[in-house]
Amino acid sequence: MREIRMPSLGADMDAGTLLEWKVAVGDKVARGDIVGLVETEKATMELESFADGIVDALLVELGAKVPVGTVLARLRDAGEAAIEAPVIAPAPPPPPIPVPVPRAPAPPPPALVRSSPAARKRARELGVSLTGVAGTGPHGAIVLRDVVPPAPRAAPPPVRTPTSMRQAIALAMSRSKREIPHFYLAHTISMKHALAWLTEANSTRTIQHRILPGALLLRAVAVALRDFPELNGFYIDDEFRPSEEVHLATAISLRTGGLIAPAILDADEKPIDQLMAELQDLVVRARGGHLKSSELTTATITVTSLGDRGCETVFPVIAPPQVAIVGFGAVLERPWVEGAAVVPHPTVVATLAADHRVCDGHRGGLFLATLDHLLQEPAKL
Amino acid sequence: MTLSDQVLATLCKIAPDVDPASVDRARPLVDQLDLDSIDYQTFLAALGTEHTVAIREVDIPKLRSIDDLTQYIESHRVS
Repeated sequence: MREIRMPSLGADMDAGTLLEWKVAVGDKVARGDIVGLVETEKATMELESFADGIVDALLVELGAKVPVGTVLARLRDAGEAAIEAPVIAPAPPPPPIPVPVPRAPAPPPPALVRSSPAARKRARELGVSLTGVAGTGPHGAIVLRDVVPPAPRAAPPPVRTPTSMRQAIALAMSRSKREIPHFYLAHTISMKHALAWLTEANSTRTIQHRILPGALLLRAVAVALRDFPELNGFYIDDEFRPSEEVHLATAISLRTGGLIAPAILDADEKPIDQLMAELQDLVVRARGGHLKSSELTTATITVTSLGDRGCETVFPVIAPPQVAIVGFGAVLERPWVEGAAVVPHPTVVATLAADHRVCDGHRGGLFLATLDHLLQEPAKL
Repeated sequence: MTLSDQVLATLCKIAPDVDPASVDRARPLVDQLDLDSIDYQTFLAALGTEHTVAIREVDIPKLRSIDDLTQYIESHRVS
């Protein structure tokens, strides 16, 4: 008998709400299958099964908010006997409605209302229900524009309350700054060879297979980490627990507010083309609210890239319980000494914020130097 | 649905948080919608697939608005 539990999206998440089951009792599931949809303060995520088996019982009803670690469903092996167990219902339970007329035979189940995360967020902020709203999105989904404020009443004064996303970020970052003795290092890297290689590589690729500099930077970080295990892992219960796997989280700024950092799992084992494809997929799913629980709960290190329109340097804050975060500013042309001449080079400032309980500036500096070396020979990445 | 509407619909597929009614089709998308380079690459790749257009690397910097993209697809697609 195996259990599927409410996953923790981060050190500061204590509960989540079950929005949807995608399986029923008796269904066969495989490890990695999406079995449900869970809403947390920071994001809606797809709940994955971490084992193979047959759904034996769904123990939590839709809409119930339960603590992290609560058993949501039980799986059994084929041939194993089923067990009876109580189901956790949403609180408060809906009051029984007296039915004065003879009951109609089997009322149809309520239709699933498809809605975008932005629409749900707006509906919550406005305090309106999505039931009965006509969706104008794909397949009749309710999208942001469909959610309108209720008719104005006696105009209460506007109160700005921080969103739950902002609260989640505030909790994690406050804890980080309170508990983690950060140190910061910065190193300017010439991107001349890396960009020349990318231009060359992209010249023979179709638009669908172009590689962006951001993917090359992720690849370089993942490869460099092989030699720096002290930057990859978790600080839990007063000790550092290095991770064998490199699950590289990448910070994605959400236009609806805040940011989220889902991970590319086993990033060090994936070639550049695969990293690029997975990065694109991750960004689309982050924007659509379809991230998987494993992507949001297992990151061993984070990369934050400011991109084309960013400024030159970022001094990032570590996401606990991780012990390091790598930052990249915008790629900018700067004067560069090449032999006896000063010539323009595209450059990027790479920064490292690391946990001084786990490593020191010397090793951190070597990590940034390794990153630099790797980016001078991009063909080997 | 016009080609311009289809281009906009593709954008909304890869960026579901964008309200299509708010998009000015003549203005650069990156400026008005806060799209990042990954969003834009995914958008161009999807357009290439949906309209059977081989978007060339050298043309990408010129393709900035819904109108630019609509014109490009019209003149380059394999029909």
